[in-house]
Amino acid sequence: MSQFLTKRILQMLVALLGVSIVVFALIHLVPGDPVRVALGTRFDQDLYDMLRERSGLDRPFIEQYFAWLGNALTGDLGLSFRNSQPVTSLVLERLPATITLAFAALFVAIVVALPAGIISAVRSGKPLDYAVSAASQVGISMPDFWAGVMYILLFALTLRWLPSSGYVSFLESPIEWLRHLVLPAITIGLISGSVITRFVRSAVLEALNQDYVRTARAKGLSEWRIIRRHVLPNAWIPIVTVVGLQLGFLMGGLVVVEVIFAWPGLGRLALTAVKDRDFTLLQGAVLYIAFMFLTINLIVDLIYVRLDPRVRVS
Amino acid sequence: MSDPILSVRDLRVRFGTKRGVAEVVNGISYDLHAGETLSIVGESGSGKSVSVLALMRLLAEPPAAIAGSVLLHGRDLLKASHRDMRSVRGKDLAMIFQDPMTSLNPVRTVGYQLSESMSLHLGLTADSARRRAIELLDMVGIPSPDVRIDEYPHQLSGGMRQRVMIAMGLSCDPDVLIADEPTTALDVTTQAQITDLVAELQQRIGMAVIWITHDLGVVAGIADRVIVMYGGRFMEEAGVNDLYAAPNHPYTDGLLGSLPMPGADRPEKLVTIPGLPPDPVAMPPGCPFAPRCVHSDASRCHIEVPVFEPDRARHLVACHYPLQVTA
Repeated sequence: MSQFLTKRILQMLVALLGVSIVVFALIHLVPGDPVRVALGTRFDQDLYDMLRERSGLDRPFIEQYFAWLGNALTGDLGLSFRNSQPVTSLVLERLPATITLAFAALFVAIVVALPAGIISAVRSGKPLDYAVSAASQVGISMPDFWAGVMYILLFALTLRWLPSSGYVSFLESPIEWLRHLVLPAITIGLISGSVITRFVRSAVLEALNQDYVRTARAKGLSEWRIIRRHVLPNAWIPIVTVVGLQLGFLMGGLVVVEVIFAWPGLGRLALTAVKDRDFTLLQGAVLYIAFMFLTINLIVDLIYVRLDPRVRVS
Repeated sequence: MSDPILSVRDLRVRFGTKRGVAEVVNGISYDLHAGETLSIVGESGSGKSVSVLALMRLLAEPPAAIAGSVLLHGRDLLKASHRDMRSVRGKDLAMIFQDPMTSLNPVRTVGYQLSESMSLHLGLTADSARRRAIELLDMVGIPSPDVRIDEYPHQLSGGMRQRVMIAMGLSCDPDVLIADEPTTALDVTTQAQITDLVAELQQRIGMAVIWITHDLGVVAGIADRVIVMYGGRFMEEAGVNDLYAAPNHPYTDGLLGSLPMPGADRPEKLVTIPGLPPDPVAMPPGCPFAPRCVHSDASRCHIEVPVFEPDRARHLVACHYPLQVTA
């Protein structure tokens, strides 16, 4: 077990290293000189040269990368090129909002997807199955920018039940926190839930057609017990995979939804960094997103070990 | 003879398919008495497995449509509610399946799967179900059952898994154990062990067994009575020795001819039966075997379905031109 864990953590570090190289290289290949963008109309050759020297941009690419990597290993991602604040604190500042929205959306997604997917599989080929499939098709096809705007129009502007945008910290006011969270969480949660529903349906359907289900029926178990005790424990394995992937995406920030709902998450931070050519900030944000994604993958792998005895042994 | 435990009368199973109605079981009747082993033999697609799945009501209806009657202690299972059927399955009628690799749940321990029907049907507590599960594993010849009980199916060999399936089948002392080709997926030495095990356990416990197989060689060692099935109908029914000594049906004769028998005074070359089994969507009007039978004639065999002659009680044959008049 500890051997498995060590191996997976090493793999994760290698992946992070790869991500850091790609991100670093991409940003430096993209046209648009950050110093030029920062100076804008106040361009002055001496100032430009001085800024390039101070930020190390005049040094060779490889040297820049290793300098950055060395600092990153100590947790120092450098200063934002734009406003000179530490990148680490800028990213950490956005974490509470990002994590809150990610888990709230995932909660909505699971609450919708599990029952819908299970019912759809159990009633496969019947009207209820078609209804669920049609609904999830709509959910998947619906663009988030459109759905978000529709919810704002209906629930915020017409019915006036919920605020249209913004974020309130839980510590400040739990009720307002929840009220601000509902619409963005539903916007993403329903989309994500539609994807998960399809996976739940196919995983449950797949398990339902296995021979051991016939064995369970031959024992005289009720259909509901068979679903709970025999089908779902097998179906969890593919379901956990897709839920993990979805959570990975959600944790990386959701640019469009964050912009629509003025949500102070990582997506908007990354978007701003791109617009400003704030390459230090963008590197930090992307590295964090990759880190979250890989961590969630690691957790998913650990859950596999719990769920599947065949993985446990090998 | 005492009343039979199980009485199947005119059982018919059809499936709605895209190509039309498939007539898979076409009116079969038999009795099963306490402690008896009945073997139903037939090639793939003869309807043998479907016929037992139908009496367990384990076929999805639709697409399956089941008619006739299946009397268990005089009660018709085909008219029983789903709830009543659940109390019969695993308790009065137990079943073991062909492939022990896939018939056990990979994410549940042996003990969990064994205890399940005991707590359901016998109301045993977790502790006593576990104790009995260990006894059962010991009974079916699994070494160190107290360790094996906490293992998962993938940690056991195919033969071991089939032993676990048998232990599961026996856990609630069923009246009838239905074994649907339980040795087909196993290698030959393991096959013999499993067959012997079931025969031995049957002697000890006294349940009746329905043993479905396509292998006449397996039948010889275990069955009291054999029914030969073809095209969803019974062709011949006899005591195991009668059948082997004097097959009356041309199909049975063909099957026996295709069986290698060391030392027997049979021709060296194995016989094959030319042709293919009938298509269940387009069953021939007369005898289902007529198109492949060397003895068939156009005036009778292709028109009129032969049935068992009721007066020849010990050895029944459904053929217009049986091979031997006395058996």
